[in-house]
Amino acid sequence: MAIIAVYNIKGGVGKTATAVNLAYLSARNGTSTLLCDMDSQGSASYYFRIKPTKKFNADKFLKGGKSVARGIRGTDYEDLDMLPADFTYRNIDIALDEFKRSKRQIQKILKPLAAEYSNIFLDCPPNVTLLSENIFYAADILLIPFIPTTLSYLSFGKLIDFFKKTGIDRKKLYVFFSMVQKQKRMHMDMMQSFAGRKRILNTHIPFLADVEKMGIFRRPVPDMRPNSPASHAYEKLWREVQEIIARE
Amino acid sequence: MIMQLQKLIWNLPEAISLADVMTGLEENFQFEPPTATSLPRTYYDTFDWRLFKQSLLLVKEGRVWSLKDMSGQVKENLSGEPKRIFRYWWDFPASGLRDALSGLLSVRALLPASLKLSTQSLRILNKDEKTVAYVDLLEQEDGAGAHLLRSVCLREVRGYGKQFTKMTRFFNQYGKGKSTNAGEELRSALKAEGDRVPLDYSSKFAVGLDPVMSARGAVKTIYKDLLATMLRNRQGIIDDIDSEFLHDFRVAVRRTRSAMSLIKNVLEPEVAEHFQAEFRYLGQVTGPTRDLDVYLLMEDNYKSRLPQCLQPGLHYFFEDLALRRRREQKRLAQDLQGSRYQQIITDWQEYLDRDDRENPTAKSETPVEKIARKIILKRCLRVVRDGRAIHEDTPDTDLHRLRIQGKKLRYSLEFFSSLFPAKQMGKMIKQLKVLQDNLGDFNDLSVQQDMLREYLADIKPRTVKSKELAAAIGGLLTNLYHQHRRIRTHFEETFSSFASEENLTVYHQLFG
Repeated sequence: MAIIAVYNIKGGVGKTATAVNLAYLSARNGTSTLLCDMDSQGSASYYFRIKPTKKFNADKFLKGGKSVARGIRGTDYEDLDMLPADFTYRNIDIALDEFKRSKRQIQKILKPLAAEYSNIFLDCPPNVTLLSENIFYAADILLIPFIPTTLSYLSFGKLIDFFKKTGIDRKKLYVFFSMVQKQKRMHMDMMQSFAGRKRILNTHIPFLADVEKMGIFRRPVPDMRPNSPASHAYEKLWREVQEIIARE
Repeated sequence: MIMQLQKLIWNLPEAISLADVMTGLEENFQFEPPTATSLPRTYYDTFDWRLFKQSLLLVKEGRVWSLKDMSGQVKENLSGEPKRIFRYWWDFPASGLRDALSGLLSVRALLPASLKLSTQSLRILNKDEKTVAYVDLLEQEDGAGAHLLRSVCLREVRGYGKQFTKMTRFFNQYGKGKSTNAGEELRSALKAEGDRVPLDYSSKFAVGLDPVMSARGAVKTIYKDLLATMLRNRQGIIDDIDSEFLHDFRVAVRRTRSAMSLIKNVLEPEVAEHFQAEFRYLGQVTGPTRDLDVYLLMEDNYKSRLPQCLQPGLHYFFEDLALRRRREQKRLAQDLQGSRYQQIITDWQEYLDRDDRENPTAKSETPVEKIARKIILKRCLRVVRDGRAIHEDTPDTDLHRLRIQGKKLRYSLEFFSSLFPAKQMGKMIKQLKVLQDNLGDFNDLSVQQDMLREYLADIKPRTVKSKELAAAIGGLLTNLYHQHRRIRTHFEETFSSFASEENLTVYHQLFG
């Protein structure tokens, strides 16, 4: 049982693709899995062709309990349900004001769901907001896709600083390299400089067209192209994450 | 907090084909082309429907076993088991299912009834091509190509309740949807395999008699029922499915013999004499296997009576019994397929089918009720008389004789129970059973000790194995002896409660 949040301060690093593919792989083993789309853009929801019900919005989500349960919808895959994002999530920080700017509200909402689903994945919006802070507290594992570039490095530093400042357990953080292009010298150098450091996963996800095509086919890669290099990369990543879950 | 997903099933009327349903779906909904699968589904129950009687169904699909109630709710399941045949509850690996079955099945074997369903599965899509409901079209054909079962199963996708409701309305043109089809499937599987229907066999004796029936007509009704029981169980004995086939067969033989000696002057004397001998023969040929069955079923019980150090000897003992049983069973199977058996059954059947008024005897035309009262009261008074004569120093053999008398009373109550108020008869049979259980246990222990003593006498000494064997038998004898004496001390109390003034008054009122 684990709550796995996929997060990065920066956008466009392959967060949604990671959350969607790992959630799919988790359910494929017969493990009951819930994917929560926390990003108001609703990309994960789009990949599964799921729209939120008309009555569902940020307020309903923050209320928790049955209002959340009613928002959950089945995907086209067995054992994989999803809580789609609503566009009102863009103002969720303001809505959190009603809860006295609580940092534990998401944790409270997820607790009863954790009793029903073995794995819960959170696809998080970028930036450091009250919502992301809530997610940092709620998650057992924070999975950070990291494009090996200088800008990414800088933003990662900011995240570490934030964790230090707030005192959130940094041991939750796990980084893996995403959208890696072997032909780029900078990518390889950057990865080299991280070699041997703690909390860096061995698996990296290459930059591959099949991942980009998820937007066209609207299916997880391991379902759409089961034997592709992209599928193998996500399968390897999921095995590594499972080992972490087993250890925790 | 998360709602259970809905599932509804419609059995299609004879006139509707799956193609008709498909056409209807095409006109109203969008869906992906169906995928076809064919998966065998096997239902299991005992010969006497121990699961069905408790409103339970055991079904195996692929490698998954599930125990469900009639609403389709899964009580226990077990998956991923290798391809092995599980015939008795103890064949199952340790699991919740095994525990549940142990209480339900006892010593009976599971018999299969298989069903081959070909399934076409469709996903109903919305305009985003998202699956919003699952529809399975199921069809079963028997070997001759006749359609036995055609149904539609609709399954909900979480969060798409509206579509489920919409589809439900569409399928309601075929009648009202049900939450499970397991009962129908079981019936269909049974129909495809043979002529069985649920609850078509019970080892309980229940024959309905009419008080104005002639005595001969009534006894023939009883004999016909008992003969049917023998015929039903014969194949199970030959195939050696479980020990209860032989047990039920023998009880029917014993009841037949008992009826002949209890109800006199109703059949022609030479007929009674002839068949008395024939059924004695059936009792004899079925005896040795049953005796060994009884001991083999005692294995765990005996083990629990002995300390660890004597267990190896016991193991040899049971190995030996199992070997003997195999030999005896083979012989029995031959006897039941032999010409003498066939002759007895054919002659008896033919006699029972003859006109009741042929060759009248002293009591053949007497109304059965009159005869029944007389017999029951006589049997009751005999039990009371013999029981009262028993005191502390009475030899064991007298208690065994009393047990036989008690059995005669019990059989006569059962034969004629439909002629008297059901509630009172049930109570009386129950009361008698308490006494019979005491006497039965006492007798069983006595017989077991005799058998063990004989067994001990036959052991050839001088090997390690025979030493261990003799030690185990000795230990067992001691243990059984003490229990035997303990049960003896309970007799007086049990008997006086049976022979109470109050109870005897009821006997006199009902049968006097």
